[in-house]
Formats: sequence, structure tokens, C-alpha cells
Amino acid sequence: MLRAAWLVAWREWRDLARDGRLRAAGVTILALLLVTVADAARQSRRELAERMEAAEDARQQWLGQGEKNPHAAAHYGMYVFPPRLPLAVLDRGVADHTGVAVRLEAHRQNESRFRPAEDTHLLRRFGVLTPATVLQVLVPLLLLLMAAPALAGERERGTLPLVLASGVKPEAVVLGKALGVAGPLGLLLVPGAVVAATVVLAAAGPSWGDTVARVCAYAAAHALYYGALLGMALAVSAVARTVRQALAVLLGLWLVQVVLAPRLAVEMARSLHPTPNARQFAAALERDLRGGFDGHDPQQRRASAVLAGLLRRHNVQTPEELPVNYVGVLLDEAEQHADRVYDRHVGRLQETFAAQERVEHAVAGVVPLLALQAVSRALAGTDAVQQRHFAVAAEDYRRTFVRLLNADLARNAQPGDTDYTRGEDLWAMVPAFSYRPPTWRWVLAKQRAGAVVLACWAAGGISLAALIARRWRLA
Amino acid sequence: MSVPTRLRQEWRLLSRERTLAVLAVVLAALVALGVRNGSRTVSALRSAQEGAAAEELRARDVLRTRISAVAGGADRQPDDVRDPLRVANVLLTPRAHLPLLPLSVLSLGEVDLRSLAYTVTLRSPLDEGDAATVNPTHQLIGTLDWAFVVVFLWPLLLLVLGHGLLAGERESGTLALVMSQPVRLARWAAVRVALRAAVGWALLAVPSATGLMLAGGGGEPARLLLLVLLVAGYGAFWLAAALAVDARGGSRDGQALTLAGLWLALVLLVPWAVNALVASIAPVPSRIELVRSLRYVTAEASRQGSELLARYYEDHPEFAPAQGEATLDFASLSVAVEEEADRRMAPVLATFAARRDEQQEWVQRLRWLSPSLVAQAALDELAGTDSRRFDDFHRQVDAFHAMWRAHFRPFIQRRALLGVEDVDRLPVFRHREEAGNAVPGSVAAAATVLWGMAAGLVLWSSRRLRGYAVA
Repeated sequence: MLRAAWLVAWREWRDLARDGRLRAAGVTILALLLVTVADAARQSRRELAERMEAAEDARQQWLGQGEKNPHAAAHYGMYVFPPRLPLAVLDRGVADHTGVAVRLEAHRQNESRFRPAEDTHLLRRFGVLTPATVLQVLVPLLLLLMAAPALAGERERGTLPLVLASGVKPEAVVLGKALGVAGPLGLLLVPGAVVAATVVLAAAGPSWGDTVARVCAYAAAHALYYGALLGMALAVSAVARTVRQALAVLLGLWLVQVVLAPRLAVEMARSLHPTPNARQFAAALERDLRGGFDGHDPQQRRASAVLAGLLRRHNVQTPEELPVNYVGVLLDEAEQHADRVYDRHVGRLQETFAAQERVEHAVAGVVPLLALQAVSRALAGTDAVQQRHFAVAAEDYRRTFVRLLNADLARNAQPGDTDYTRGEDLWAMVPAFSYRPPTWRWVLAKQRAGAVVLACWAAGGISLAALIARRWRLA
Repeated sequence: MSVPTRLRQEWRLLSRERTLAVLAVVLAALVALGVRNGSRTVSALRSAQEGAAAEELRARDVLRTRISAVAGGADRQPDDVRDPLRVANVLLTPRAHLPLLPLSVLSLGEVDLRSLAYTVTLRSPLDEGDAATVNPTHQLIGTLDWAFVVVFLWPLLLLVLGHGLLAGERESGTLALVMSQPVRLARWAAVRVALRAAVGWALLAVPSATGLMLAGGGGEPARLLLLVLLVAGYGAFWLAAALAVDARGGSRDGQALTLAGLWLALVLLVPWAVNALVASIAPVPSRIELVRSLRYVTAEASRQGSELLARYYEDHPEFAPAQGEATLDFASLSVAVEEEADRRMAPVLATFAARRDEQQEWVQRLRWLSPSLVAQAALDELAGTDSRRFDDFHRQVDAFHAMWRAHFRPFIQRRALLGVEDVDRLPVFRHREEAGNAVPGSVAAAATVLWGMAAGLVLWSSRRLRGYAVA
């Protein structure tokens, strides 16, 4: 059977090689892949250098801010910069939409700002050409164009019954056709993949092991997707009466997956789990920050209550008699209140985003491209989940350094002392911000569902093709 | 054979195509969904804007009442409601918002990506945009609005309607029979294409008009007319392209592939290529560099402020001793630091903005390479959700911010308290439709180009059809 399959595959390769249009399309796609990888790598190298310099600058500015009140330093704050993993060269994901820097300061939990998507122009509506776009949009199109006439063409020309009548098993025909498409496609993709992997690994640095694992997972995810597509395409080709019919169905499926399904999934997610608009969110946040939760405990009353509690605890009558600086204590109390408010509102917003993503994962069960895109972004470190992971780490760091500064004020400033200042000795006690991105294991655990979907679709595609072959045998 | 007879025959053929019926239903459903999404988004935004405007009026009334209650009290109190710094930064912070035009229900444009409202205080304008509450993945993927259906999907229906009209007849042998009658090929083809154009238009226009009426959209008749001309021109281009491919010859299947390739090229590949080209010709400066530059200049201004204010609590004067003069001095100094920081940031931001504007200009120049880009840009302009209108709004907010600061500066510097009459004289943001004045001309130009392309293709096709082999 294998020999027969190879013969069928060889014939398929010969026919494909003679088709000038497919040859041109293949070469174009390979060229696009290489060009986009090269461009993305250049951009990535530049950004990496900029981020490192910016982080170093931010640290020096923090240390060199001079003598000032510790709470003034908390307001001076600092900027931190989300990292870009090496695999982000292949898939920029939501990176352009989540900002290049986060301002960390007292009392406010800022979101990341300076989003490249703000340069938005109408072109962004049409998508951006990246290596991921080539691999997830153009390569599948080429695969479908190659696979559509594989069996339908034989039926149209009347050669399929002759082939089957010559003793070649239907399974061998289907396997041969599959190899006939997979072979040239592999020939096209392997050089591109090797170049891309080399570029990514060259930028891996100390996280080489993690990057290798991510690259392998990335390749595997795409291989599963192509396998699923190939199985489906051969099944459609086997069932279609004409090549035209097969092409129409397959191109329609491609269109639905690439153009329509992502937006439909977004609308479904938004309908089921709407987020508040920016104004509602800001107003609710402001109301709770200033007025206390549900307006029952406005800032002054809370401040008076804290002061009264302090006086009682230390058994004194006036703030000046306290062994601590009550201003520092009040500032810390205000900070904790703000933290609770942000946790509540931002937490609710993030939960809504997570619920939306669960809806999209569910839709990905029937649209495997959505699963592949989610896995691709996750492995590249450019999905919304990992942006949030960074935001949480930055927020934890912010709370730590603000508390440290407020505690110094409470402990060391004399009551009523408005001239209390500190310098670099205190600023240096705040450790430099250091962020560890999640490991590939963590990422794959989060993307379990997507990986399972891809595996199921690949198995389903192969099973479907095998079933079709069995049907011929029985017919 | 008369034209009405030919039309009736063509209509009979069309009405038997089950695929067309299915596509018609799908298109209608997507149009309805697109209009619904647009309408829902715009309603929510408008409701928020109206709420914010009402809240601002209420805040002014409350402030007037509170100031009146303190009337006669010359001495500054802790948390005094007459404190100009407090009024400008906390008690009465005006909202500058961009009004949404009636046709924005059809094309949401950059609504998801840009800020539609700013809260204006004395602080730096960089800090005043609304937080984003849209999932970044959704921003990446984009919205399913009516414009998306028209620009991306409607052409596919038109190509299905219009492809291989001659080739199909030739392959089935009926073209030779038809041409044996006293019928000119070009006229016969024109009748077929015209009817299909009418059907294609009706399949879009009917659900669109219904959806728009139910959504309460519409607006100026002139803009509606431009919308009709623009969309019809876009549709005409695609049908003319199908006719041109047919006139060129080749099998019906081959033509279908060619048209699919044309759609892929014009709707996806050319915009991608233009994006890459624009990023290469006119790259926007690094945002990380921008952050570093801004941080450096604000750090310098803040350092000077720190030297001056090292004795005071910089950000919480309510915790300072009740020394009226010291508090007020802090207020004027802190405002001065903010203004100095903004003055130093201005050239950095101006350079960045200039490079962005240059990139936008390149996009405008290169959009003519794809009718899809032309159509999308024009739809965004008609809807008032395009880059230019947002950029213009941003400039007006900056100007209002400067006005807000200039209004309060004398109070702060003179260490004066606000009175009731001062509340009535506070500036109010009013958006001026400036960018919109150029829209009709720009959209008319886009519609003209689309119709021109269609006419050019039809002319070329009619010449090719003179030598068309009917068998």
C-alpha cells in the first residue's frame, strides 16, 4: 500500500510542479514569510535594546530623583516596560494594543499606555502582515488550492475509477494524495520554518530552553492545523462532483474561518459578557475612590476614623503626641482603600475579559483557526492573558514600593514635621523591577483547550479522509 | 429580442439559483448584525456622553450652592470649596467629548481604539484620556459593523453574481445559439450585468435601509446621497471587474479562481503591502523613546519643583499645617511645575505628532491602490469615525485644556477664592466640526474614482467583446 501511495504522491508532485500558478504562489508565500520574519526580527532587536535602555534609565531616574518627601517620591513613581519574548517576532498579537509602558505611582493603578495601535489608521482594519498571518492565512489557502482538485479532479477526468480498478487501494490513493500535497508544502515551509526558528532562538538569550519548547509547540500547533485542513480538504474533494464545487466549498470555509468567524466570535463574546464603557467605568471608579464603597465612608470620615483609632491605641490626645507620624499612617490607609477599589473594579473588568475569552474558546471548538491563533499568541507571549500577567506583577511591585515609602514616613518622620525628606539611601531600598514571564508549561496549561481542539480536528480530518476511502472500497 | 424580454429571462435564471438565495439570506443577516452592533455601540456611547454632560451641569449647580453657603466667609477653610485648585482638579472637571454623527452606526471606524472623551483638569493632558475597557483581543480582531460587511463580504456576493456569465454560456453551448439571433454581445452582456447589479444592490440596500431606520440613524440627506453613490460605485467596480475577467476569456472555473485572487489581492494583500510600505517610508518614532524623552523633561521640571517644594507635602496639602500662605504658595508652585513640564514636553510631542501626521498622509496617498481602502476610508469619513476627525478633536481638547489652565492661573497666583459668579464664567468645552467640512469633497472624490474605475473596466470589456469567440 505504501508503494502505491508513493506512486500516487509522486504523480501529484509532478502535476503540482507543472502548475505555474501554484509554483508562483508557493514561491511568493515563502518570500513573504522570509521578508516578514526578517522585518519583525529587525524591529524586535531594536525594541529589545530600547526596552533595556529605558528600564535602566527609569532605574537611574528613580535613584537620582534627589532629596524629597517619601510620599512625593511615591507620586514621582517610575515607568516599567512589558517585555517582548523572542517568539513575538512571529506573532505580535495584542502587543500593539496594550501599550509599551506602565506608569507606577501612588494612589493610581494605571493601565499601560502609548499604544502603537493609536497610530491607527484605516489600514489596521485590514490586518497587518506578519509571519503569523502568512502561516495562518496564506499557507492554508495554498493548501486548500492544492488539495481541492486532488480527488475531485480525478473524478472529473474519469481517472478515479480506473485507478481504483487497477488494484490500488482507496486508502493508498487518499494517503498518496495527502502526501502529494504535504510534500511540496513541507518543501516550501521547512526552509522558512528553519530560518524563523533560527532568528527566534538567536534572540532567546538566557531563556533558551523555554524558547526552544515554545518554538516546538508553535510548530506542532501549526502542523496539527495543517493536518486538520488537509484531511478536511481531501474529504471535500472526495465528495465533490467537480473541482469547481470542491474549490467553492473550501474557499468558502477558508473565508468563514479567516474573515468572518473571528469577528462573529468577538460579537458573541461581547453580547454575552458586555464590558462597561469607558465613562461608566471611570465614573464608578472615581465614585468609590472618593466616596468610599457605596458612598458610606467618604475620605474625610475615614481619615478621622483612622486618626481616632490611632489616638485610642496609643492613649494620647493629640496627633503630635503619637509615636508615629499619623500622616504616613493615613497615606497608607488611603493607599489600601484605593487598592481595594481598583481590585474590585479592575478585577471585575478582567473577569469579564476572561469570560469573553471562554466564549471565544468555545467557538474555537468549531473554528480551529481561532484555536490556532489563540495558541500562537499565547506561545509568542503576546496574548491578553500574558499582558495581564505582567500588569499584575507591575501592580504588586507598585504596592510594595509605595507601602515601603509610606512606612518610612510613618516610622521616621516626626509628628507635624513638614520638612522630612529622604534621599538615595531610601530610594535604593526599593529593588529594581524584575519580571519573569510565565514559562511555556504555564502557557500550554492555559491553552489546554486550544491544543485539544487542534488535536481533535487533526484526528478528525485524518479520520474523515480514511472514512471516505473506506466508502469507496465498500461502494 | 427586446430588453424587457431579456431581463425577464435573466430574472428567471437568477431566481432559480439556490446558492444565491442562501447568500442573500446570509448577507441580510450579516447586514442586520452589523447595523445592530453599530447601533448598540453608538447608543451606549451617546448615553454615556449625555450622562456626563448632565452630571457636569449638576456639579456646577452643586458648586454654586456650596459656594453660596460659604458666602461671606473670607478666610480660607480646610477643603474649601472655593479653592481654585480644588475646583479645577476635583470638584468641577469638564468632560470634552466627541459627538457621534448619525452615520456612525454604519462604520465604527476608530471608536474602539481612540478616546472619545477626556476629563480636563490642570494636570497634564496626557493623563486625562479615558481608560480602555475594550478587550485588547477584540481591538486586534476588529468589529463586525456594516462597513465591514460592505467592504469585505458584499464584493464576494457580487462576484458570485457576476462571474463567468459569458464563459458559462459558451461552455454549455448556449452562447452560440443566443448570438445567432440579432443580438449584440456587448448589449446582451450589459443587460445581464445590469440586472445582477440591481439584484446585488437590492440585497444590500433593503436590509441596510431597514436596519438604519430601526436604529434611528440617517442624518443629512447630502451625506446619505454620498453614501449611496459611494457604495454603489464600490459595487459597480466589482461587477465591472467580473465582466472584464469574463471578456478576457478563459474557462468559468478559471475565472472564478482569478476573481477570488483579485478579491484576496485588493481586500487583503494590497492593504497589507501598503501598511508595510508606509511603515517603511514614514515610520513613527519609537514610543519607548517617546516615553523616555517625556520622562526626562518632566523629571527635570519636577526636580526644580522638588527643590522649591522640598519643605512641603507635594501632593497632599490637606496634611500640611494650617498655614494658609504656605498651602497657597504650594498651589501656585505646583501649577507652575505642571505647566513647565508641559512646555518642555510640547516640542517632543510635536515632533512625534508630525511624524504620525506624515504617516497618515502617506496612507491617504496610497489608499487609491485598492478600492477597498478607498471605500473604507470614505465610509469612516461619512460616519465621522476617521483618524482626521479624532486628531482634530484631540487638538481642540488640547486647546481647551490650555484655556482651562489660563482661566484658573490668575486665581491661583493671586491666591483668590472663587465666588458664585465665577462658576458661571468657567469655560465649557464645545466641539467644533472643522474636519467634517472637507468630508463631502473627499467622499465625492472617492465615489468618483470608484465609478471611474468601474467605467474604465466596462469600456475595456466592451472593446474586448468585439473579438470574443462565442463558441
